[in-house]
Amino acid sequence: MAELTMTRRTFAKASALAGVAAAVGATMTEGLADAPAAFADAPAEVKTYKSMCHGCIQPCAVLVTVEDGVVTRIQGDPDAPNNKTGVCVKCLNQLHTCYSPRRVLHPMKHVERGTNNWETISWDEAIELAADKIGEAIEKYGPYSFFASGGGGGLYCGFHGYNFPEGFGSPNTFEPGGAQCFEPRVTCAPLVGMVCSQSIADSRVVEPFNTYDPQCEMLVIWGAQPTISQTANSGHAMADLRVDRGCKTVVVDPNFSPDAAKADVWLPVRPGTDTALLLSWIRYIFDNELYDEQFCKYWTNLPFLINPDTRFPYLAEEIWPDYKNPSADPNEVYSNPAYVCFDAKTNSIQPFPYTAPADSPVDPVILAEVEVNGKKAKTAGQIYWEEAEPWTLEAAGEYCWCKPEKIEEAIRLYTDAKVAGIAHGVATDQQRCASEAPLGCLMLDTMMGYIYKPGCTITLTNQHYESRPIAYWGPMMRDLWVNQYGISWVTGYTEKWNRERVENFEDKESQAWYMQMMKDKLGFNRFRGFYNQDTTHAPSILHAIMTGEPYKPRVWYDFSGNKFAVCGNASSWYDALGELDFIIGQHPIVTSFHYEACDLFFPMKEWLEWNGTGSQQNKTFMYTEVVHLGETAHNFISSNRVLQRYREKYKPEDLDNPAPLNRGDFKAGDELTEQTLRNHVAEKFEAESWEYLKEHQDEFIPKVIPEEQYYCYNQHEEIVDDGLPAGFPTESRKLEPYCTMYLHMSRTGFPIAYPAQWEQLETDYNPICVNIPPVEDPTTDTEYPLVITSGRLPYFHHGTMRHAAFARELCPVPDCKINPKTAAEYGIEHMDWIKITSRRGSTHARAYLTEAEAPGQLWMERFWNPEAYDASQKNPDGGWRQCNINVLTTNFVENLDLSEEDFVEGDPEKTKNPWNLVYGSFTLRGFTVKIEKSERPENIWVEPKEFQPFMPTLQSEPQTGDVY
Amino acid sequence: MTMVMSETDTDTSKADELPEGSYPAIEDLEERVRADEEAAVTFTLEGLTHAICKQPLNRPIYRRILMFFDEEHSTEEAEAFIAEIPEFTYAIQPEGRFLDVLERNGGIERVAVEDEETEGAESAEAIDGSQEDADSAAEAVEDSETAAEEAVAEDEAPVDELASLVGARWIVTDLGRQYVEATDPMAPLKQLITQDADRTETYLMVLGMCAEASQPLAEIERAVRALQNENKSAAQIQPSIYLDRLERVGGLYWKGQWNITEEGRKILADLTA
Repeated sequence: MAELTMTRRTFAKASALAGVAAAVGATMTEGLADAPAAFADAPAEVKTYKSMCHGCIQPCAVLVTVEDGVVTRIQGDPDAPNNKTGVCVKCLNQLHTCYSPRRVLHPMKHVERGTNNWETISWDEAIELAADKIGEAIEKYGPYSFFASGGGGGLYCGFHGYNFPEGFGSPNTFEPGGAQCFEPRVTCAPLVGMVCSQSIADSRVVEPFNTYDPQCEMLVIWGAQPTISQTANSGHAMADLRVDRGCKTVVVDPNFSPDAAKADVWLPVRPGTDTALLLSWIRYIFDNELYDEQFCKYWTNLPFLINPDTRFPYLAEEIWPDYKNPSADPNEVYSNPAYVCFDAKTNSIQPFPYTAPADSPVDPVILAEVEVNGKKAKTAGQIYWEEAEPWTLEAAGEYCWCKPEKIEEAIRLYTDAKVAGIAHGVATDQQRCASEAPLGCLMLDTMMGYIYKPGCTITLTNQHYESRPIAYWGPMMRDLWVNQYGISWVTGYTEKWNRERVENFEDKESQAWYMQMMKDKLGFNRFRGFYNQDTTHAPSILHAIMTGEPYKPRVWYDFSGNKFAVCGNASSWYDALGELDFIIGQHPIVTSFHYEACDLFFPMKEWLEWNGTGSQQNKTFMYTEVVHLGETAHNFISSNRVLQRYREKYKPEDLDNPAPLNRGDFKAGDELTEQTLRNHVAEKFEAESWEYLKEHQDEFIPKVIPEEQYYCYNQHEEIVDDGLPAGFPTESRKLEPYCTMYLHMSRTGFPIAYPAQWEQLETDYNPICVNIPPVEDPTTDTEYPLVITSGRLPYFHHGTMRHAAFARELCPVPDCKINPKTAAEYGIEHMDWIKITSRRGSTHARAYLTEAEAPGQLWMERFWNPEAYDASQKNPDGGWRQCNINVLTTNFVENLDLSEEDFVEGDPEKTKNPWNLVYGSFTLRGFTVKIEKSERPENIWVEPKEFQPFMPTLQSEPQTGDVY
Repeated sequence: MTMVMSETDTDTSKADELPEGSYPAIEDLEERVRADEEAAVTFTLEGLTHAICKQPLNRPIYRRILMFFDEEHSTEEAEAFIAEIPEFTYAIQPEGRFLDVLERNGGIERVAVEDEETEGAESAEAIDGSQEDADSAAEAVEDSETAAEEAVAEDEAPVDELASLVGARWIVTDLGRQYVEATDPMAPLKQLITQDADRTETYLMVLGMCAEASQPLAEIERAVRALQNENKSAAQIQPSIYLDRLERVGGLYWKGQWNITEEGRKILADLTA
């Protein structure tokens, strides 16, 4: 036998180059032993498992085929109500990414940032190092020196990561999405009184896809593209809805997306002008009396008279001090305030108690301005109408770049349907109007009475009320703050009940500690909308890193993803690296972020290696661990172990401390192992063990809620234990499209800060939809005369999968869609490389000429290029500057430095409030740029054969046991 | 890097079939090394500063090393010195890595030693940059890489790179001196302490505490809060800001507790005299 001179290292490198077969080659054949014929002839062991895809935020149920321990096929699970037998490219990418030569299989220490030169270390060493670096910083500067960040929707870390720093005594975690994606549209709805939001992206909208009793005949998709973003799930369901059931759609989107192409009416709204368009709809509906008057009278606060001084609705007792509220709870537990309206029966102002509509003593008028105690007071409805009044169809058409007749056609489709609904997406979350736009969308469905009805988007599945509905505020609207720290107001209970709960809370130390943490959370005092995920305003963290004030976060644990691809104004984060002492990352692969920034890396599992659960409509499925490579671990485990080790070494007195909040199914004190996670899944399905569950999936998967139980309606009308209709979980027990909670939040921090009273902010949060112009306006910007917006592609999700070879062959680089007329003005032809420049920087794309973009408007997806640091590159780099729209976007961090006299409203660089008032959302879409013809940037690949190094190679990697 | 063939096998056709974009063949490697080296010879203060500052925990270590090499020293002497630097206790890179980074970014350079062969392309190239040296450098790289490939395990890669430091002697470059001068702490320290009147007293108090004895964070926090309570015109800010700022400009250092540096002691004496 010839002596083998190939070492394991060269074998691994060679196999990464050309696959196992080529690596064997001539040098290895003589070293191979003959296999027994029986073994060689034996058929492959083939098994199929039910699992779920985690390629995006809407998991699809799938069937995974495993041959001799290698996944060879993924297809849709016919039991899945939405994706049925379908899967999309994002799902299939897993066959590449799980076995990618880019997978990191062991913990690593970075020899030097920005070199991709790593040293493999053991898990024990990695955990110890992470705990030590966090511990050292805390010993030197205090716990606020530590912070964390999560990924985006579909992230690999789960919500578990969000308040991980609290376990160390720090209040700060940010998400690149968060206030720019999810929080505004999802948290606005409960503040108005809806338990579920209109967000189609986050599986909040389920009723249109109800095939048990299909009623949906009309859907407005506002700033979303389900066909692209959740292709096999709600995208597939949308196709069924349109084709099988003839559902009509209106799509509001600057981009001619596949959903827009199939729509009955497409409104190509100018990026950043959604609030004006919403107000034109509201005005049209009011003017033409198309709204559901009875619903608005008795189920909303639109008829409430508003105190012009306080901007809050009058309470009956303010006008009639001796008023006896007939609906007051004699036990003083539940709150049922009486308000004031203008009564059409008596033509006078009257108390308006909470009753069933048929029992109401008044016929409240929705649009009115009357005198109350010597002052002119308007109803909430009147205030709304006056705000909408300037926005005629013509005015909106001109401002929003839409045809007035098309706006009208769209509105009529919406109003003339028996029932309809608005399905809202991420677009407006990424703009300054992030709180006002969802208010407008919610107002529309509210005024039309499209609430809790078959076929609409706002429904309450699998839930009925026994008592007056209540609402918790805080992380994920669960009772976490209330139970663990005794803080925050619970809406629906009386002042007496809430006060006694706080006073009687025993652990005063934790209560005081958490109240102080909330105050010290960066940016939270100004942007109080972060309460829902308990995260932090990202620009405020960045500002603190750069300036050191009010304190300096300096050790960073990032849970997921490529921060340089997904954070607004990516360069500003790169500039901060020199202020950050130690950065820990975890992910399946090294991304630009890990390349440039990380000092320590934990290798994470891909979803084929996970265990977990997920739902689609009324069915719950299982993520099934079918393979395991290297020393990868579940994304909960690394952070849990780091926290445990930190406490053992630096804070043994905290070993029993329940912080951080128990947000997921596991607490900080739990010692997590992979088997713990498996057992947890087995419990969810009531199986005797995970092993039994995995081998007998047909007995358990899917877990089904009977459809007649799952789909239920009109819960607000059901009589509950106080003899009144349930209503909604708000202070008034009615829907509050005049959102009093936004006023409370900006005035005192109520309800989240209760019992504390925070300082009143300079500007009230807007309680209704008002027009919020974009910060940068192409109609007046002479230096950057074009407007650019963004969205997703069907091949990738957020910053993921750019190393999936076949997907890159389909979409090697981002195309920048541009109207041919605009392109001609710049001498640009189809597929030319162009350079796009904003006030923040420049990047590149290929010009894709299409009439589907309005003249003067561009569309481009965020992108990054992992090939930029492939070993073949002569001058490797992080790959995040070449083709990334987030080099152009802004987070307005520099505005935090400006002094009062520097602000100039209307000046895009000096606007005092360039962020959304409530959530601090900055602008990722609808900002101004200029373009010029250019060349293909360095270090990026375009031709299919160039992606060969990304082809999967780890299929022969041995299956391994648990790390923990 | 191509596969290493056995002695009995002369069939190189498989190497020719490697797809594009994969690891370069030996002849490409020579060109790459040459290109890298040509690119590397242009050093700038900006580049050196970036390399030193991109990991802030290492910043004070690098500065002290540059000052150490104001006189010529061997690698071994330097490593012994580095090991004693207080901040090095918290570094995650070995001593040699600091020398490697400084050399690659023009802060220090090797001193030519007569009649001594040095290994490694980078070290050979640093001497005079001639084509002959580039050729022998490329050969040295190949030899060194072949040797490294026959070594034990993958995770010894960092050690391979640092092997070329063994036996070398070093001196600071002009660029390195420029960096040291530009980052002299005295003027920035004075400015930091005196520029905001509502913070001066607190800065001096913190320095004074650390001059008397090492201080844990809790003591400093207690003292700062007490001063803020007593003197409402003192800036009502987090105590950690003072520590962060003083450390950043070189007035304090941490070794288990907060300690004053020599520069911090001097400025304290100057300002309280």
